[in-house]
Amino acid sequence: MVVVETLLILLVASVFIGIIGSMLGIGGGIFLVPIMTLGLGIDIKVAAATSLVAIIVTSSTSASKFLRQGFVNVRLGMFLEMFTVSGAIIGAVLVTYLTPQSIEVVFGFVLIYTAFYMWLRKEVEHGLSEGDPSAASPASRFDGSFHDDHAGKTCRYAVKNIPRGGAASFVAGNLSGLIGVGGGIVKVPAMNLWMGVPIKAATATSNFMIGVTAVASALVYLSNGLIAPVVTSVAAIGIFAGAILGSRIMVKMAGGTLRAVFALVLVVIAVLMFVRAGGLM
Amino acid sequence: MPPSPDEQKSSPVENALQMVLYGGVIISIALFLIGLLSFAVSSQTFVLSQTETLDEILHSIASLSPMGIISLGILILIATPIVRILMTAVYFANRDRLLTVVPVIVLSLIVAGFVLSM
Repeated sequence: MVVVETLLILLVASVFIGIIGSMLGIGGGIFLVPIMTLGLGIDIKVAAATSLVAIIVTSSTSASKFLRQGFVNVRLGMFLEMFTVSGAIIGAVLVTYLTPQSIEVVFGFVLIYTAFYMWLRKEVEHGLSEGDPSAASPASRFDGSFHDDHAGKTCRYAVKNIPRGGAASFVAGNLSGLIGVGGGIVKVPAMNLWMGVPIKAATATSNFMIGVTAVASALVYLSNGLIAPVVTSVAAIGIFAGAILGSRIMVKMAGGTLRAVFALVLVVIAVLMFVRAGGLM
Repeated sequence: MPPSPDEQKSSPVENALQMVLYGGVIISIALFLIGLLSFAVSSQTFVLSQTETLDEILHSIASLSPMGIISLGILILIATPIVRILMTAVYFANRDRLLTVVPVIVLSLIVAGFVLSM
């Protein structure tokens, strides 16, 4: 009976994570892993493995939507995947050598970083308009364009700082493999602030990459016997249902208040992670 | 989510990629549901966060047990982005050198990581 109750709690939590994830444009690993470890007492390595498989669901679903809308920069995404995948494999291999406590500490720091990122979120709207003379001569082979319905025009943008973007992608992949998150919290700002990619294209391209990144580390977890099929399937179903509900609700991440609340929640989770790592919980 | 005509802003390859991604997710979610329901109606018990080795996963799939059906869903889910990489490589072969070479490198890295960690 206890097992069924735990699975129901995980299912309900995953549905909420799916809804919140689609509102915030994130995969949800940042919430799923703490709920499994702190709430359900599941080992963080198993929780990370579960999260990685569940993330494939959210990223594939949203990447599918973004591909249809033409927001994904496939060329840039595939190129940066070389870096995320390298980082992810190293991260997933490192997991086998680390204690659960040290992974929890890393997770705590990532939570605090995410809280700051959400709270202070900076976005830059890049893009060259149709009439702009520089729009006619793309400087890089990764330059992209998409149709912006709100603005009612095609938005073209030039991609710069490729090496820095590659380094950020490696870090994002590394964190993904290490703690089971998608890494969008690193890639999206890196693409937007450094590489000149508009936020819509950056979010879409990051989502497009997360599936492949998660697979690279999920396979390492699989060969190390860290996949728990039942828990994974329940989390995946919940997140999938939540993501569909979330996109139906269509609540946009509005105003600073909601973001500040989430930031605060993340800080609380971070503190709990540190407490657990310290053996006090 | 099948594409509606007024939403078509993507190229044919993007359409094919999005069908593969969404199709893979739907199939694996369906297998998860079937597997969990089979668990519910069978008298089999399981430990909540019981992990399975690769061998156990392959054996359970071969036996088509509830755990096997769920595990098959997990493998299909993992295979989905890999199929996406292969499709990109095939589609762009001879059309775009970067998009032919990069998927091959990404795939080699994934395979190397998997094999070396076994």
